[in-house]
Amino acid sequence: MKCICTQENLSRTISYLERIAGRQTTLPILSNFLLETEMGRLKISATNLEIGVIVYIGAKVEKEGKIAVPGKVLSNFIYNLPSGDVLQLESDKEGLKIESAGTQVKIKGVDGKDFPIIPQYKEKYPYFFPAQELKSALSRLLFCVSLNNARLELTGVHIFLYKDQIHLAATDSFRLAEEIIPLAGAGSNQSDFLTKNQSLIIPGSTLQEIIRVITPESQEVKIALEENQIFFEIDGVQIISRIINGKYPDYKQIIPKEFSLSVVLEKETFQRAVKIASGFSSYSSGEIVLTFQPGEKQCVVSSESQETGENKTLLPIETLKGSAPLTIVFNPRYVLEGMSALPGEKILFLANNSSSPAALRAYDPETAAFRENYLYIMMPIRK
Amino acid sequence: MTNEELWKAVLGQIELSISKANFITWFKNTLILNNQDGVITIGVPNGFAKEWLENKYNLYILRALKSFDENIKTIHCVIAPERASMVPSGDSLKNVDAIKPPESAGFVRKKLIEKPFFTATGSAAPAFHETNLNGRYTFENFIVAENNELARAACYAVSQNLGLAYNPLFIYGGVGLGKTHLLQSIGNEVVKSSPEKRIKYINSERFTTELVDSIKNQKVDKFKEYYQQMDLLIIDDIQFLAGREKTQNEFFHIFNTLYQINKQIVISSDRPPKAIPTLEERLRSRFEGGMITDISRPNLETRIAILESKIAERGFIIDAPAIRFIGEHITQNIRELEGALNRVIAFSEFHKISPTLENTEKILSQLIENNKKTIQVEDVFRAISEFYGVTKEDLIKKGRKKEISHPRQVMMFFLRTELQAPFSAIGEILGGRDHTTALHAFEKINTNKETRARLKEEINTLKDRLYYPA
Repeated sequence: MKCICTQENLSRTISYLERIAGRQTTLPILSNFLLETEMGRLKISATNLEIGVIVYIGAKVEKEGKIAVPGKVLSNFIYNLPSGDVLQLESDKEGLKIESAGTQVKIKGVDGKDFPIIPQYKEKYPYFFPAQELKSALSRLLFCVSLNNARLELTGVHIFLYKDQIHLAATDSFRLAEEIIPLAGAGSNQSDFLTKNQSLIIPGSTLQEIIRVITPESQEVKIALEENQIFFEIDGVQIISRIINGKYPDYKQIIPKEFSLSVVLEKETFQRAVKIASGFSSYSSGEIVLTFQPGEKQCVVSSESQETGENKTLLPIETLKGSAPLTIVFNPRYVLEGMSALPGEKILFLANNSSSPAALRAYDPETAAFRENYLYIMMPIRK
Repeated sequence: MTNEELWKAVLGQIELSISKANFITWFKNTLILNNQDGVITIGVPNGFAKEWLENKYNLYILRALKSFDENIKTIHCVIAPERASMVPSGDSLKNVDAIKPPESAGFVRKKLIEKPFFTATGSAAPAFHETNLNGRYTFENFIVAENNELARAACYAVSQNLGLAYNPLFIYGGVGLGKTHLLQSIGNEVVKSSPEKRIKYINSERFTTELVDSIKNQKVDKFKEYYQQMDLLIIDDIQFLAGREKTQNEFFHIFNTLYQINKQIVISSDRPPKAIPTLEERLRSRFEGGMITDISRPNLETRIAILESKIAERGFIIDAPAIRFIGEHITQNIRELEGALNRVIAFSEFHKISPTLENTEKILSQLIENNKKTIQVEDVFRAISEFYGVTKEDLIKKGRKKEISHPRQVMMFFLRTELQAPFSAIGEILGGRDHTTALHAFEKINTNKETRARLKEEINTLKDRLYYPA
């Protein structure tokens, strides 16, 4: 293989691949990047056999061929070159020679033939999603995805079609986030995509890569599906991932239809109070107590622990519904993470009692309504 | 021969001809789905295995198959979901509650500790290039004690809410007390919870070097631009910026840009901003505008807790008195504490002795000797009179009032233990007293300090003041 390309192109590419080519002990070749020429371009790919990423970059190809080189070594070299450099890449049996202005390296590599073949979607992608919307929706969901492999289906984001809307959800079984996106109009094929695949669970780690690849300039995310795998393409970067098999829990049924208590809180002051309280809740237990007193128009956020002491913050609330006082215990992390996903300055706190799920929503004071497209639900700690 | 038996036999053959890693990777969870008219359909778990078996191993497989059944002509692979038996059927799962309360306190904690497996899976591989973070440093393995709990709480709050909690966060404290650990923990926590955030950990030395390089290559703009798009910028050892005007200037602009758009900045130093010489006034006032917190030297209990956790980490066993000995004698910082522990472990492993109190004393004797600065009789006078509020003359005078006699006895005790002075000399120093008086005082304090907590504390504090005067 022999070709010429720019440092900028190469380093951008590598940043997408780097996290994929990890330290796989069973198959050492997986820590490599595969560089190969294909139809006048340079194709670089990496995989951990769960996710595969393929990026094409423009290059002047002088001789066809391919080589696999350790990702770490290559990225370390490329990142440390000044941008704007033009690089000449040449491979032989033993490795890859790269020449730039003044610097020459020879990276030991292995034959590209031994590198796993990453499945590619060769036809035209049938489905399109707006990139920015997808990114912001995913970033509000991914923090809820379970990291525990014990329940594999919870390590992904669940997607399904429900009454002309796309419902996305993620949960780690202690809290749940749901985002609803209206279906895009005709021509987008989105409804085909989802009716064909009633419901779909995409691994959280894959979606995290998707978020990374979407830049502020990205327009659309192209998607295609095959048996057990899903293909994405964003700005020429192809990401291939497995789909999680399994049945997602029927989470709709645990979202309470009605709440007996509904109050509006100032997001920033509430956040502050919870943070103060989390500092006093002992690290091991991490419990804070919210006491809503609709009669006095206030909410008390408090916590105490033997090691640190105790605290109490009074917050004004605006009660929309309910009059009975309620005391409810939470893990502060779950409250804070849920709050930080909500836009706007006011939030709506909804609850029934101290042992059933409570909800957070963004609240718009002008229309006196909550935003319906995002819902965060968390379980209180049972005392 | 059933399909299952046939496939087992084929796998047996293939296993011999390829490496074990390859065999496990590509043939795990495969099976023959169909065998008809000489066409074998193989079910594979994913697309990677499909491509690989069809393109690379098809000949191996075909050859092996043919040796059992001549009629087999071709094979092809399809992706088959994992076998039904492995996935519980949908109906039984349907009623599992989607979310449940995080029941007891202990459970939540366990979850937090389990988390590190996430780093191990490579999603946040240790020290990956972009952020300079080392995955080893997390909040979970940071030992919290009174000397650092405020700093830790501040860091944790920052990691949970970038840019909004305390901005900038400034942490100072002596070397080896855990500043870097805390700083890196913030980064790692953020990587874990929101991997899309841009994070940079850098020490000020590296920062300067990068800036100098960028000036050389005429890419200062790029340099600035790069840092100005961080969501979380962590600068370690900022005191090295002292006296570097150009770097301070560039840093000032980066700082301002980030600060104005509520991006989080975390800074550490070995001293408070006021005490950094030649730091520009405008930078100093900005550092002081956020949250300033310090990490002080760990107390004895903390040192012992740290030692115990380090020992457990290495799966080594050291007697409690020996641990105590190390904790008592290495007081300055945690890095030295770790060093001393390493020395004890290495020495005992090498010489195959068990690390009892005696052996530990021997092993560390040199280290501790070097560590101690030599103190004079005058130092003891100064420490005692400062601590008890008595004058040197009082101590020497004849008086036997309790307010005086107690400090005097303590002083005799220190002269004996720290200066190894003979009893007769001790008596001489303190106003020509008899050597039996000194002997009595020493023995009294020595026995009482074991039983009386207050006395013990007095002695520890005094010892500290003796060697590390404020």
